[in-house]
Amino acid sequence: MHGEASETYVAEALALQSVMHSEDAPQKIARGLSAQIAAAAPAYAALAFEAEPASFLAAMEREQA
Amino acid sequence: MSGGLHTLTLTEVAAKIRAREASCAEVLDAVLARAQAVQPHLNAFLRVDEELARAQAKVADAELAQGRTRGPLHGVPLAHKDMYYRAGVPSSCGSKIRGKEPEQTTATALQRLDAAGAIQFGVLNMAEFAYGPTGHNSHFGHCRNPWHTAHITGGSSSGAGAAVAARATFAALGSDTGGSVRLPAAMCGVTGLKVTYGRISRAGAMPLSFSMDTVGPLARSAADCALLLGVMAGPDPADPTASREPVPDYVARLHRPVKGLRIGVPLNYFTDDVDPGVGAALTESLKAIESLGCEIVPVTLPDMTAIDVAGTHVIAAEAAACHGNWMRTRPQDYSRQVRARLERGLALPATKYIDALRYRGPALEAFTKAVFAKVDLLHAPCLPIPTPTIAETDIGGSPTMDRTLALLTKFTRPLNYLGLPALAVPCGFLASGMPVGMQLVGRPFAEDLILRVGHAFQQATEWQQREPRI
Repeated sequence: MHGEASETYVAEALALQSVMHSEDAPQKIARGLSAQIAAAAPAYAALAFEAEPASFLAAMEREQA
Repeated sequence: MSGGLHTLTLTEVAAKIRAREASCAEVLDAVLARAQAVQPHLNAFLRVDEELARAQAKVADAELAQGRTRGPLHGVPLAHKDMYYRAGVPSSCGSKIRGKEPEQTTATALQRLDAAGAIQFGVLNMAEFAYGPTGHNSHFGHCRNPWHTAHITGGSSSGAGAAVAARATFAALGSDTGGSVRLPAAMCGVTGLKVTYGRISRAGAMPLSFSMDTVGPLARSAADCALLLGVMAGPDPADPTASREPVPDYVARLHRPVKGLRIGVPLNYFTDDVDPGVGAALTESLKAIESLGCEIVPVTLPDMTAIDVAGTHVIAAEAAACHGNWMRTRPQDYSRQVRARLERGLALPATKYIDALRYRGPALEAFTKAVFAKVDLLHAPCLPIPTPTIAETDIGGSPTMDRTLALLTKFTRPLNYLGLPALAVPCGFLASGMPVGMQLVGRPFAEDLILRVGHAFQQATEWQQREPRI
């Protein structure tokens, strides 16, 4: 469902934000990022089209003690 | 060591001062002496403001002599994690980058403690920018666990955990974004309260992840946490996320009965990777809670791994945004670990961050439906493993370091993402002599309930009374 983040992607994402990456960052981040995105992918994919961040505050109010 | 004024709980020492059985100056002397004695072993304090504190104690004693008290913390000396701003004083935030210039404002939490009569006598060590679960700090030196100085304190409120456990402060403010109050509380054998998101104003507290940051106390008992929460909780014009939910009398509610309450025990997630010794302590704590008349109810949780990962996405993106300017201009001034974490956040696609925020409401609903439809609160370990050593969790320290670090926050971070309150309570010791902590998790704004059960547990057990021999 999700591809692998490449070292090039990570290096360019940081460069785009004018951040100089540390020595082994692109390799390490690429590996970790891919795994993290894959772990959350089913949950995110199940979200309704209309789901929005404010639903959290509404849920907090509904569920409070 | 036992028997000095510094060994009293916050509640006890405040009462002693009010009754004029001990002067504010005497109490401060005892705490300063204790702080000085343990500092070479623990590195818990980043600064002690002895002269200023003594002057304030003198004023507090004069007020008492005139029959006046400022509030429930009159004359009680406290030290806090060095990320709560006080006007005119620099805050290092555990970093090389901050701490050179005096702050312009005073944190609302500090203002409220001041108004209640507390005297701040120092600031405490912490993970750099509160972004680390161990207590390592390469700029100021690692903080050390009072139960065994080769072990980590837990972080990021490392100095708070160590100093409270060592009886070098009666309580301390920490902060909890992914476990930073509960982890040092559990690893140092003290009580720590992670509040509902918005329960205590964050104004004047260093931000890490604005939608997950919470301010919270570490102290020697649930009763002490209740007292501090009552002083600090409530709306604040300086923090739009501070809740307007009424603030109950948390101390009075400690004494309500717990008999008949339903305590949930997770059948999944919080059972994964649990060390046998930690598991045995948790089982014993459940027996103690059951003996109070509570009903133990097994509960199956929803997909907590997805909830944990979503929490990771939120913290990574929000922290990277906060630190973006310094990451561009001063990357060399970050420690290797914190810089690496921030780089990861900078590479996270914006859509994944937004997805994590969109998932939060449904995730909270799924969790509350699975848990709080059946029970009043949830009982779980704070962390699955025994407290590791400083060496084991340092860069290159062990082949299993990455896994160990991931396990440290596995049981705490999901609750930050869900915004729920949780109380870390000492619940036993391992054969190694290191403490074990459980957490009691409640519905949003159910701090009174988790404090009540924590207090009842502490009346029936004695784990929180044990003092490290340092």
